[in-house]
Amino acid sequence: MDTILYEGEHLFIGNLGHFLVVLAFVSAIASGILYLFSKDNKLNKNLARGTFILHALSVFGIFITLFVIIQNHYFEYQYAYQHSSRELPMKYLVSCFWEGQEGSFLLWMVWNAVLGLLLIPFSKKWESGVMPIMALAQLVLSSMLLGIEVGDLYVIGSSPFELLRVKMIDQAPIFSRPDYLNFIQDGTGLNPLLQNYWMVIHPPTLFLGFALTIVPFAFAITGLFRKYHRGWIKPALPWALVGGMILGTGIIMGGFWAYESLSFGGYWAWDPVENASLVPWLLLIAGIHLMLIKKVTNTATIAAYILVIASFILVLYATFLTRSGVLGETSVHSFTDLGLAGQLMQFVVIFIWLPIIAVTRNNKLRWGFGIPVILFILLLPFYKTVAFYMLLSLSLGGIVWFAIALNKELSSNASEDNVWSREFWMFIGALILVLSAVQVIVTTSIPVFNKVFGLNAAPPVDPVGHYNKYQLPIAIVITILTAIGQYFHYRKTPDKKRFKRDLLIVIGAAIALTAFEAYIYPIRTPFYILFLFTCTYAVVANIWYVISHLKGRLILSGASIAHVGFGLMLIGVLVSSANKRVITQDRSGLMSGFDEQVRRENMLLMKDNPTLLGNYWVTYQGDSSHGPDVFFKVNYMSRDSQESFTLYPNAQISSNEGLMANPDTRHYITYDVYTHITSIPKPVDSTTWEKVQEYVVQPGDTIQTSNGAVFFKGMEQAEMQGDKLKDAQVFKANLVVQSISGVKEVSPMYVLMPNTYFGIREEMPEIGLRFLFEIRPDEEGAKAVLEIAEAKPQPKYIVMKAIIFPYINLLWLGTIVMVIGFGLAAVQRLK
Amino acid sequence: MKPKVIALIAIMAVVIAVIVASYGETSTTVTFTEAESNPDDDFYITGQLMKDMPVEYDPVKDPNYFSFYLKDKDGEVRKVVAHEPKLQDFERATEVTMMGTARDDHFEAKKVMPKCPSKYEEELEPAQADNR
Repeated sequence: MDTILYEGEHLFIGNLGHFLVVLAFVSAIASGILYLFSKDNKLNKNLARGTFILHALSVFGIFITLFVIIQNHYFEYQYAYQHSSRELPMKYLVSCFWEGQEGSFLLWMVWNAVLGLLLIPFSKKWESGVMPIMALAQLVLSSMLLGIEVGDLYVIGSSPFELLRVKMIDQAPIFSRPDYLNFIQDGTGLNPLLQNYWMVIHPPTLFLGFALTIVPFAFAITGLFRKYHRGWIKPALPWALVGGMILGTGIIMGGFWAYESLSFGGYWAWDPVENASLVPWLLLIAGIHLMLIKKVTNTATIAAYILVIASFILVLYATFLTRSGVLGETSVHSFTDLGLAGQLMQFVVIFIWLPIIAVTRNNKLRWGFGIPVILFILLLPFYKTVAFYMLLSLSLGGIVWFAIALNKELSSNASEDNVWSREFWMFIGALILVLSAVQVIVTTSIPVFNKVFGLNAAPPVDPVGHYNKYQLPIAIVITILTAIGQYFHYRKTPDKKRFKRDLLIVIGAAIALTAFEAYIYPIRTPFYILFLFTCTYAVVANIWYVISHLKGRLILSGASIAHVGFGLMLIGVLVSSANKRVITQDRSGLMSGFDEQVRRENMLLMKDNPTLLGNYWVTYQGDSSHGPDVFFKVNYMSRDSQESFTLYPNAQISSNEGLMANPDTRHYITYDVYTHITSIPKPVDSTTWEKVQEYVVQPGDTIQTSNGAVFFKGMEQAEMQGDKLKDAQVFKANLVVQSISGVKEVSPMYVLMPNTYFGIREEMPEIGLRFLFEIRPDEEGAKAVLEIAEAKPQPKYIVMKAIIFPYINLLWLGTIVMVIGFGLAAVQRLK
Repeated sequence: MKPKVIALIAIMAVVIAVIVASYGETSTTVTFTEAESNPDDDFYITGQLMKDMPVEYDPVKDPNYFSFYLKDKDGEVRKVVAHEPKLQDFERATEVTMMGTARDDHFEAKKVMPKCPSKYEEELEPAQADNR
């Protein structure tokens, strides 16, 4: 094969990136192995630390290298070509990272590296157990970025430093031209949905939350290996609390982003990707409660282990679900399959087997388990089906073995449960959280079960109804437990008298408050009133607990404050979704008769034509463009004319994704008015204009067209701004157009410059006329020529949807309170 | 028996019940003929968009009426009606997955999910043309 010398490429930076990926991979292996032998060996420990720091630096280096490529628009790199473009503002360049999979794995690695660097000084005697697990995770993650071919069969990972021409040369011969870069002036750009402030901060927050779940996991595994079944809790707990806080924030940020800038009309749609982040959080919260039980009462050991391990495994499983392409059409989030499905599966299997190996105390047995598992993991890319089913059955067997072995090892310290103790009800609460998580993940995993068992089931036709049906009763039970849990004491029965008194005060207050809330919100469905009561009960009970039992000492109140926030959040969810009202209910549809069953939630608004929607007269007043975005000016005037506001929902017509609409929302304390565009007229282009005719005109002439009469008043000299037009002479023709939409004036311009001349077209698509004015020389000197093009009139309109969300601020307020609670709890557990 | 064990068993039973019930609610991807034999149920149908038949959407007449023709995997062609605005560039879709109910003369879609050719393939075409 001939070598082609390509022109204009920046190869050094890509080679540096490749090198750093390999260095990160190798240093992760080295650090992990050195750490395994570091327990009583000072030299190994220092070497292990050094290699991990080297690893962390190379991970940061990869990130910076990729950023430099994106920032400098080196489109010879596929990643920059596919995920960025020149017009992208600086602040969104960083979003390009998480549009692609490689970038999101990189983000995860960066956070893991940061966590590792924090664990080195802070994990003390746990360092030699925890760090190999961090290194193992980093090894697996960096392998995803390797992009190294093994023979012709198999590529390990997908490198973000791959050159565009290498990927594309078989498909497009242009890439064999040495000067191909001249043809690639710009990248294909970033998905407009990601060009949003929330999309800059939501993914890093969520990934930090995901990354944090590995820390309690690593402590748990170390506890298992070392048989410190209680000792691992104390160092792991603050990490778990911070993880719960960050992951929870990340999930809600995603909801807020969806609400503010997505057009599905809400903050939560039970989309597989949302579910995939919710489930690890639910398990982590359950795990935190079990860790607390274990810490204080030394019971629930097995459950604490299982949940802390499960929350991390579910993070990996969620990654597999969302990144392997297995979800297909079931998700609005589209991720392309980079061929990493196999590697992601290996990732999950490796970490499932860590705890199983840890409880297997017999070394021969460890090898007996380990060797076949490693063998099938390595064989997976080559014998997909066989290796997959072998790994599946081995892992299921391994999980059963794990439960049996752990139960056998720990059965001695079983004690009689006290049904009147706090730990009993916390345990029940944790189990209910698990129930919630199981329900969500089982339905979300339908496409996976289809693949594994060869079924043909499709997800429920109404996902929101489906999930709500199960999750609502679960939430009722959880809020009740949240309310009463703290009034019980660890290990002993509470003072019955005080307990009764507290219960009476709280229930009384909650009932009164619920009645008030149900009246003002309003909530009328009995089942919703019950839910409203249990949420209110949770809020009141936890506030009362802080006042009466903790005497307002904030540092001890983390748990109660988090519970208050949780309750407020759920009230916000209930009220905003139960009373959400689509005010664009169209009753004028002609095409399908009148059918009450059919939802007709979009309204057509003709320009300048007020329409009564709910309590507002709504008028579409025009549009304006800012770059690729078109903003539609929609005025709301209340029926009593007391207040008026204007919203600017925007829509971007991209050739790739169709109409990208971003809603605009008017926020009030008690409700939001949410508006988004669902359809706009087809944009006017050259094909719109059909009949084109030229007329020589004199002032006072009238031209009849099929769309109206055009009266030429005359022409005059005009001014135009701009450096290039300094020496230009500008004339404008003053036209009056009379049509069914009334009388309008328009003035097409003609520009005469020393070297050139041109007319500027004026389009009136709503009337169906386009004008071009020119002055041409003739025998007598000059004549005025008017070119008129006609088209079918295109009335200016928008089709939009407007929704009123009442009390949605309770949801955001609740989230903030909950995050504060988590933070306080983490601070308390650090001491 | 210990109360915790009882609770554990009870919740396990609920978990199993919920899983079984959840599976009762799953639907299947079917053909038009199958959907028409159960006109009360919702189904998923995947098919090819008929490019040479009209995709109708005139918001001035009715902003909540959008129709097109789809050929399912058995080759049956039906008119599909959705009560929502047409997705921009819907005409470019090749495959469409939708959820809805069979009616007498059409299929009533509650959710329409078009699958467009990826932007990557689109980008390639001009590049190839350029070289020829």
